[in-house]
Amino acid sequence: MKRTIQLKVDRLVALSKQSDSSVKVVRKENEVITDSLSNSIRSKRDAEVFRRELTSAFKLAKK
Amino acid sequence: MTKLDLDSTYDIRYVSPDLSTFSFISILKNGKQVELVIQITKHRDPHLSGVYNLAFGPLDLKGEIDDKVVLKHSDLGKVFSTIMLCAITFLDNIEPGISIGIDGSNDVRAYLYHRMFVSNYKKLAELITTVGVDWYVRLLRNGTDIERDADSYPLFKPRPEPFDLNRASIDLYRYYMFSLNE
Repeated sequence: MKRTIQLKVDRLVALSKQSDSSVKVVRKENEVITDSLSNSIRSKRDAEVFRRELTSAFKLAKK
Repeated sequence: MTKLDLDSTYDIRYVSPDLSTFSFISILKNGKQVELVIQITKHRDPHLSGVYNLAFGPLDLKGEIDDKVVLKHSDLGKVFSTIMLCAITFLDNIEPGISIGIDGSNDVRAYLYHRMFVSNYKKLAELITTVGVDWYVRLLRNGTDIERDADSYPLFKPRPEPFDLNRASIDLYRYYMFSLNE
C-alpha cells in the first residue's frame, strides 16, 4: 500500500480509538441485511456454494 | 468519468471503534452540504463468513441510511475516494481474507459503481481485487422450463466472476465485491 494511503488508514484507526462506543450514528443498525445478495441466498447449501465460487473468482481475478 | 484519488478525500468526521461506521460531509452541486454515513455490516448467514456489505448515504428521518436517494455531488470522485478509503481501512484492520460487497440496488447506482471500477481499474488493482456478481437461473433438463421455488418464482442464484472490464455498461453486475490484495 502506498505510504500516503497507509498514513491515512492509520489516522482513521487512531480516530476510531478515540470514539465513544456508546454513540450510535445510525439509529437502526442493519442487523438483518436485505441486500440483493442476502435475498438470493436461501439455504446453507446456497451459501456454501456461493462462498466456494467467490473464493475461486477472487483467486482467478488475482492472477 | 469518476476519477478516484485516495490522496484526495473528504475529512472523516466520525469513525466507530470497530471501524464499521464512518461519516463525512460532501458538498452538493447546489452548494449545500450533506452528511454521508458509511456502514459496513457482516452478512447474516453464518456460512458467508468474511463477507460484508457496505451501504452509504445520508440518514433519513428515522436515522437509517437512505441508500436509494439520488444526490448531485460537486465532486463524485472525491466522494467515492473517501468511501474506498474507509472500506480499505476496514479490510486492512479487521481480519485477512475478508471481502466487502456493494449492492447495485438500482440501475443508477449499479451504473455508477460499474463506471467507477472500470475507469479506475489499474489504480484500484494496486490495492484491491474486484469481482462482479450476476444472478442466473438454471434451465431444467426438459429444455423448456427453469428452476423455480415453491411459489413458482424463478430461482435466481448468485454467480461471482472476476470483474470483466470489457463488459458493456448496459450489462451491469448486480453486486460488486472487493478484497484487499495480500
